[in-house]
Amino acid sequence: MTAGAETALAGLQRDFQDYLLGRPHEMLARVRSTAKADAATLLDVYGAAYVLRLVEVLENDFPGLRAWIGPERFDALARAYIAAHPSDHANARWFGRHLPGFVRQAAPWSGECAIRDLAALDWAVGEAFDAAESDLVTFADMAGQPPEAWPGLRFAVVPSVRRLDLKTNADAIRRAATAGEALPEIEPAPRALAVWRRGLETEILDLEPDALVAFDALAAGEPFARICERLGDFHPEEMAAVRAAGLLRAWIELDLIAVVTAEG
Amino acid sequence: MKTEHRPYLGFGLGLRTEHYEALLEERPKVDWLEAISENYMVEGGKPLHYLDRFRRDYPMVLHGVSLSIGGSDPLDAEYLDRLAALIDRVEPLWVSDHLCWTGHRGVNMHDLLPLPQTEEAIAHVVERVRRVQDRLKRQILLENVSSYVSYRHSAMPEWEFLSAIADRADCLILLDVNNIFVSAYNHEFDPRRYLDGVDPRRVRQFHLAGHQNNGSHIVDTHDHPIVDGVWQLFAQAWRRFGPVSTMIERDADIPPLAELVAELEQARAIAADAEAAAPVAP
Repeated sequence: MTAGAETALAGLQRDFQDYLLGRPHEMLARVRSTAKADAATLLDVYGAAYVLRLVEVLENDFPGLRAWIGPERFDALARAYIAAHPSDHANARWFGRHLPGFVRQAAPWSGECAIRDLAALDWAVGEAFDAAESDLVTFADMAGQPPEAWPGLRFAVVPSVRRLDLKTNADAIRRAATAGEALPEIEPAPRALAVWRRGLETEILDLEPDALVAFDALAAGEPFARICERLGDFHPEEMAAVRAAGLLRAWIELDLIAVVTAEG
Repeated sequence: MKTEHRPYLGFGLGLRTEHYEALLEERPKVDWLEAISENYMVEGGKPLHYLDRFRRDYPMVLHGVSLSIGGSDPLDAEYLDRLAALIDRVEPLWVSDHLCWTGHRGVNMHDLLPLPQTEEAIAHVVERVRRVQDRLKRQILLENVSSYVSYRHSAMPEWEFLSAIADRADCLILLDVNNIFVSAYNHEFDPRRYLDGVDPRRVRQFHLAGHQNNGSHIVDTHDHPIVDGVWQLFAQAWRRFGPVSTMIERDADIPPLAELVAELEQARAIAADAEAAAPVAP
């Protein structure tokens, strides 16, 4: 066989897949009718299942978005996404990973803040759900740090952390949706969230403006002294270190901090 | 070949999230569990927490849906790496996937699509099974899938196709009794000929499941109790193959655990009757 020539098996698979993807195909000539059913009916078992299976995957992965826009609009969105992004991963777990980007760009979805926010939030929660495990920094770890080491301490957040900047109260909508409660009204309410897994449960933390700056600096590996400096933009100088220590304490308590390292 | 002494686990269930708590609380009479590999190819969190927990209490096997052993794309090295890592973690009694293809040119259909029963496909699959077995350092089991179409150019019955692959690749067989029943109905062959055409030394596991009969064809939905015809075929399989580790798959309209445990009791009783009625051939 010359390089690039298609085998008979590959040709059949290309044709079958073209059929499933709604492209021109010659599958009807390849399959047998039976006494009970014609070839088109039998092929359609696969054709119908293909879309329904992927819609179901998306329903499971985007519960907040589905609750907000309702089953019919969600079905239309899912089918548009399936057509635009045929699955490129062996594991259906990752099929929906392009959907947050899809709704940011594709009309009519891209025009609605709530849809963009809920798609991003649902996916982030799903990622946190089964992200990697890690060690956790404890208060005992911190108590063991000599005072002179503190300015140079650097931290890493746990691997499940996902940071989101939303324009709406999508987190409240998702919380109500997954609890089976009545959905609140959508409100323009810009907020910075950290999504992560604590134990086996996913959590969402709403970060105040100063906490957001400190959190992003900490997650980027900046030393404690630099985090204090950044908080100086929000607080009197003598209070910045107190605020930094308070935030750090809270995040350790929330199982957000995985690593502390002293400089040198 | 390691098929002379077939390990036997008894009667098991597919591990499903809906049953996690009930399995822990009720400790039902379930001898072993089959976990869907892909559900646990993640980094952490609940899936692996529960998998580890159940592995401590039950013999476990891994069952994949994405190997695409019959696909024309190169074997997915990343997928195999992840599967190998999961195998290291779980230390399953064995590992299975399906005799099918799941996608082409980098696109995945997430379905178990049928292969043409041709010499070309046999050679293709055999070569890939060998490579997978080398990578995973173990024999794998291939399962016969339910199919709704048969290709005009298929040159042999499915049991000959499956048997030839198992023999030439030296792999094992997961015989899905429901899938034989479904495909026999859809393609109008006698399911007993399928059983007779498979070498008992290759068969390591049975699957049982429910399906949906649409009259013109049956769809393998795994959303109903097992029908009488499948039970009868299971009894015939037991008589032919002897004790084979058997489990029930339910993937939609999942009932309370107790209902599946009761169905498993039915499987035990049918197997016991079949064994009493006809001594197993050597």
